[in-house]
Amino acid sequence: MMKKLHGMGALLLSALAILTFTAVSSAATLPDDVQAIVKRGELRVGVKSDVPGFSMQDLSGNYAGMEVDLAKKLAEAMGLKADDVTFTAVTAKTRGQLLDTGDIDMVLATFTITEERKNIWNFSSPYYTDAVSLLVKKNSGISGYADLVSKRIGVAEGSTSKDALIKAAKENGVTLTDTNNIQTFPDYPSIKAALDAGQVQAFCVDGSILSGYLDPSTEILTSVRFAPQEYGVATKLSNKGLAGFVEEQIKGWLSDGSIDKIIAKNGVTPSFKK
Amino acid sequence: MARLRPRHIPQVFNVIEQILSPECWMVFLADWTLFLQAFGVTVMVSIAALALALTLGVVFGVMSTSHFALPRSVARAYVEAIQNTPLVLQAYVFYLALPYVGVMMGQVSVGIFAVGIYHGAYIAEVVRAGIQSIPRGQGEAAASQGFTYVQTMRWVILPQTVKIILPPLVNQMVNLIKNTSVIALIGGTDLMNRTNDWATSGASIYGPPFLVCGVLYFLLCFPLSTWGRRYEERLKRKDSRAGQELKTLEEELS
Amino acid sequence: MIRLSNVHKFFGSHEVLKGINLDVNEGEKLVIIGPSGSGKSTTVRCMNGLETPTSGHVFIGDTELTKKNRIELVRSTSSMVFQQFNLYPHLTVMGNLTLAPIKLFGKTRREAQELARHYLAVVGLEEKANAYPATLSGGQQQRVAIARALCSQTKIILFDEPTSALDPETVQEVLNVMVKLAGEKNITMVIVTHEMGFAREVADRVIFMDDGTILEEGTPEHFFENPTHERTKQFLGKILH
Repeated sequence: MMKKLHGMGALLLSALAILTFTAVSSAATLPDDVQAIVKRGELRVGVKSDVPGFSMQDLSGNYAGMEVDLAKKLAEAMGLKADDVTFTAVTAKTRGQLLDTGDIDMVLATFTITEERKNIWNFSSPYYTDAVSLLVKKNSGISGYADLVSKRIGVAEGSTSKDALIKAAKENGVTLTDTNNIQTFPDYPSIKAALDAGQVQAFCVDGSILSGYLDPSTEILTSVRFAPQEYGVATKLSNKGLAGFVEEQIKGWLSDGSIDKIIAKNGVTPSFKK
Repeated sequence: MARLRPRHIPQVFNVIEQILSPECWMVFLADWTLFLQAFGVTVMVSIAALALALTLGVVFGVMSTSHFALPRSVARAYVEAIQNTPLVLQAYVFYLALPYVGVMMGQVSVGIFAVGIYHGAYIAEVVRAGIQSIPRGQGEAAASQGFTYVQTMRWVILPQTVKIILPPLVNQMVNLIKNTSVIALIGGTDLMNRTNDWATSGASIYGPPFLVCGVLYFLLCFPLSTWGRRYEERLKRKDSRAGQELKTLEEELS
Repeated sequence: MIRLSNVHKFFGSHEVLKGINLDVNEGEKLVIIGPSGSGKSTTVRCMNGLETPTSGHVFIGDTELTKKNRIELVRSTSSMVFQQFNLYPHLTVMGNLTLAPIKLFGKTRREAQELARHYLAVVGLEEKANAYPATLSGGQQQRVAIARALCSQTKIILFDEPTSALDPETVQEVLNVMVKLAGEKNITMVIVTHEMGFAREVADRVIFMDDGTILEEGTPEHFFENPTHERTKQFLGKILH
C-alpha cells in the first residue's frame, strides 16, 4: 500500500514535473514573434467570410468553419484562449497584402500553396487538399472540357484557378484562352450572380468553395476536376519563428487525427483524393 | 495565353521598394501587352460611352426645357433616377438583371450603356442649365421669326450653349473616363480589372502595375481637364457675356 | 390686318390686360404709348403669340391665332424688333439676316445673301455684313435687327420699344431707319415707343394705354394738340416737358 502510494506519488510528481517542464520549456522556447502575439494577448487571423464549412461569417458577425476552428486551436497552443483570436475577413486579393503590412499574423483562408507563393510567404504543411472544379447550371449541357470552348468562365481576381483551368483543358486537348473564355471578378458572389444571370456559363474555383454556392439549379461538374490544391497556413516571410511554431502544430494535428476531426465536424470532407 | 510566368520572382514586398526595383519592373513589363490591351478596352468604352452620353444629354437636356409637361417630366424622371442611384448598381442591373428579360450584354456593352446613360443624365443637367442661361430674348427672337422649338434649339440656342457648357462638359468627360472602371466589378477586362488581377496573382507585385494604371488614367484625363480649365479661364477673361453666363451656369450646377 | 377682341391677360393674379379691343388696318402705322406697366408690350406681344391671352381672341387677317397655327401664321405674316435687339451673338450680321430665309423660307444661300445685302443697304450697314453683333454699337445692332425683320418680308412688323435700350446719341439713327420704313405703304407697323416726336411724324393713329386698358385713341394731331383724358394730358405733359 505504502509502496503503491509511493508509486502513485512518484507518478504524480513526475507528471507534474513533465507538465511544469513542458510549460516552462514551451514558454522559454516560444520564438520571439510568437511571444509578441502572446504578450499582445490577441492572435490576428485572416479568414474568408463567405466560404461555408471553411470560414463563414454569420449575421451577428461570428465566424465558423474548419479554418476558424484551426485558428482557435493555434491560439490555444500558444497559451491564449480561443476567444483571443481576432478574425479579419480577407479575399484572394487582400490576404497577401494584409500579411505583408502586418495587419494580421496569419492567413487561414483557403490559401493555396504554390512554389511562387512560397517565395513570398511562409506556408505550413497542407491542412486540406482540394481540387478546382466548375459550378454550372444543371441545364447547361456542359459535361466536359470540350464543352467549354465557346463558353465564358468566371474566376476570381488573383486566384490560381484561371491558369490551372487553361492548363488542365490543354492537357485534355481543349484550347481555352484568357480573352475568349475567362472573365475575372472581384469576388465569388459576383461570379455566382453572373452565372445565375447567364453572363458566364461556369464558375471556376476550388471545389470546397463551390460547394458553398451549390443550389438546386446548379451542379458541380464531377468530370472536370483538376489541379489539386493544398491549403496551408500562411505567415509573413520574415516571421520564421511563427511559421515554425505553426508548422509544428499542424504536423502534430495531422498525425494525431485532430485535423480530420475538425474537417468531419465542419462537414467539408474533401472531394479530391490523391 | 500571353501570361508570362517570371522564372525568378523578386523578393521585394514593400510596394514603395517595388516601384524602385528594376527587377519588379522587368517582371511587370514582360506582360505589358496585357496592359496595353486593357487600356485599349478602357479607351474604347470611354469613347463610345461619351458619344452615347452626349447624345442623351442633348436630347434630355432640351426636353427638360420644353414648354410641354410630358417631355419635361420624362427628362426629369431620367435625370433623378440616374443621379440618385449608384453607378455600380446601374451596371449590375445591365449585367445581371437584364439577362432575365432576355437582354444579354457583354461587359464592354454594359460599360458603354451604363456609363453612357449615367453621364448622359449629368450632361442633360449641364445642357439644361446651359440652355436656361441663354437670355430669353434669343428664344423670343427665334419664335418671332417663326422657328419651331426644335429649330430654335438647333440653330439658335444650342450653338450658343456649346461655348458656355464646354467647361462643365469636360468635367463630365473626365469623370466618365474614370467611371468606366466600373466594369472591372463585372469582370470586364479594362485597365482597372487587369491591373487588379495581374497584381494579385502570381508574383504579388503591386507597385509598378498600380502606378502605371494610375499614370495611364492620368494621361487620358489630365490633358482634357487642363484644356477645359484653360478654356474656361480664357472665356471668363475675354468674353464678358459668355463668361457671365458660364458663372451663372456653374452656380446653377453646384 | 390684326384684330384683338376682348383680350385679357393675367400674370399670376395680376391682370395686365383688361379687355383690349383693337383693329390694326393693313398698311397702318400704329403707335402705342403709355406709362411703363400699362400693358403696351404685352399687347404687342399678343399679336405674334409671344404671349397667349388668358381669354379673348387674336386674329391675323381672317385667321385666329392659336397655339397650333402660331408658328406657321407668325412666320408668314409678322416679324418683330425688340428693345434688347436680340441678335444671335454666335452668327455674323449676314448669318443673322440669312438664317430664317434659308432655314424657314427655303431660299438658297445666294438668294438669302442677296436679300440680306439689299436690306442692309436700307438700314445703311452694308459694310458690317461680316461683323459679329458684339462688335457693333447699340444703334447699329438695332438697325441690323430691323434688317433681319425685313428679311422675313412679312406684311407686319412689330416694334417693342426699339429705342429704349439705346444711348441717346444713337437713338436718332434707328428712328431715321424707321421713318424710312414708314414710307412703305404696304407694311403694317405696330410700334410701342416713348419717342413722341417720332410718333407724331409717322403714326396714322396713336393709342394711349393705361393700367391694362386703351384709354384714348386718335390721330397724332388729336393726341398731341387736344387729348381728351386728364390722364393722357398728365402723361404727355410729363413726357414732353
